[in-house]
Amino acid sequence: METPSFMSKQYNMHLDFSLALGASFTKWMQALKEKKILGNTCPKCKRVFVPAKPFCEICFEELKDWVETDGTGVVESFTVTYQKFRNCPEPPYVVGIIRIGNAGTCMTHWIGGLDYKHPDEIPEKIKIGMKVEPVWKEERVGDPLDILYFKPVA
Amino acid sequence: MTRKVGIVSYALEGFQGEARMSSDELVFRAVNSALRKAGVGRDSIDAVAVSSVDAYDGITISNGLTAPAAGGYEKDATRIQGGGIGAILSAYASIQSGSAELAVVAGGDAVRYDDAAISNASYDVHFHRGSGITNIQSYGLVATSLLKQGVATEDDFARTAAKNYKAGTTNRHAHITSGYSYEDVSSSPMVAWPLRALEIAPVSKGSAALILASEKRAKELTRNPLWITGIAAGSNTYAGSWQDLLEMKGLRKAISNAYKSASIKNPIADIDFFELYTPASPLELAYYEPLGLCERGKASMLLKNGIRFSGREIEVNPSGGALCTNPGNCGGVYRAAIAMEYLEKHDHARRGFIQDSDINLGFMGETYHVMILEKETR
Ligand SMILES: [Zn+2]
Repeated sequence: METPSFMSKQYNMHLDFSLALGASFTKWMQALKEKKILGNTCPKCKRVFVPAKPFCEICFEELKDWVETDGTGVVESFTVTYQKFRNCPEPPYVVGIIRIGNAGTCMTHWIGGLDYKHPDEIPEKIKIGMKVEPVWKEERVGDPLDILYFKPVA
Repeated sequence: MTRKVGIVSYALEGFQGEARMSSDELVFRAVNSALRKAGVGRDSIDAVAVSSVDAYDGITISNGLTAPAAGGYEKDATRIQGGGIGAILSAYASIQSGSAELAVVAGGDAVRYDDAAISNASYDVHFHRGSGITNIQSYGLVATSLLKQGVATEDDFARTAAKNYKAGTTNRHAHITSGYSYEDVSSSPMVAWPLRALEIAPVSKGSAALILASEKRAKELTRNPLWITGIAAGSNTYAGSWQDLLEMKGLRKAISNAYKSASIKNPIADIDFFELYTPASPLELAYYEPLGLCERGKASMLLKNGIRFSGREIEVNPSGGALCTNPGNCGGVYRAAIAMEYLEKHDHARRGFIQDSDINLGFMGETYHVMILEKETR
């Protein structure tokens, strides 16, 4: 029998983790159950963080004051995925950078509610600066995926 | 007082196809070859810096295997995740501080993995990971903004890719040497609009090693040392605005610190070539302005006209860049070695600029590294 010039070893890893979310993230996630998107504010630069954050990365201050937004936002950027990626949705899907209310930060979520029959035409249907609103799941658990997607405001 | 730090040797191993050996064997080969070229043995080394990402090695502490493979036994061995220039910076600091005279920087890529799945797992699990984002979508999001800002067109993305592929045909170390044309790129499948398959870097396997030395040791070991005259890093926000991300302040800070340290006033006049980490072609266009190569919004015009100074062309990614060769662990070390080769081969070239970042895992909270390599002035 001939010896191959090299062998390959196949393997995989499945590991379980648990992440404590802390007071700010927990408050933000809990509000989603009530179909509310909250933000918290930096005492120094006054920027509103949506999603919430325990601290301002720039001013290095703790964020303590909360505001409630109306949930609507604008599309800051987007990309239309046409290829299947592991642990990601079935294509085509649109990942959007969405700025909620007057937030100084962004949320990453799906843009939906569009006609997906002609996938090539999806990029033309979305405009940067377009106003969007959340479409909520019936059963909410306190997770960003309680929002099915953001759809254009009619 | 700052000490001069030089690079006296380099070696590259592989990159053309699949790896036929493990990361530590690849690292050993590159380091052994770089040490031989420098005419020194493992005994002469004081410090070792290995560049790796555990997930890319499919192990939870990749340097356990690769630090000894880089000559680290009984030495001051450090592992840096997040780009090879970060590892170069660590070795540079060891020499600057006087704790080392001679240092090895190395990295190797051998394991086959799902690049996009590892990138998805680099995002925070509470807000981002579930949103179907990977490094590729993050490049797509930046590319969409470049279109909106009028910095570049979809056509420019394809032309930039073709320019890199053409350059790659002359790089004997490159992974992709097929020289894809503009037509090939612009007809390749759409992956994450506006990004097409051939506008996104492959994943490459190979290893790279450098030998850094203090001024005294460098002059003993070679007649032609290359000096690191600027090296700097800068990070961006993770939870910032989209504008913050596009502004790339971390990159701007790193560039201005490196330019200042190397006394560069006008990069077009003072730098002969740029090797940038652009794992998607639109990023090259995004970096032109922060590098000082063009004014804001003029990247498209710069691509069309080329960059010229006093009748000579200033090349960006003469190696073909990441679209031609993209090893996740040793990328920055590879680019530094490629830059050394360029300086060796081109008499007219005196100074090269090398850029690196951890955006192989995707944008958000990214850290940039830059370095300026320079020939001895005679
Ligand atoms: Zn602040």
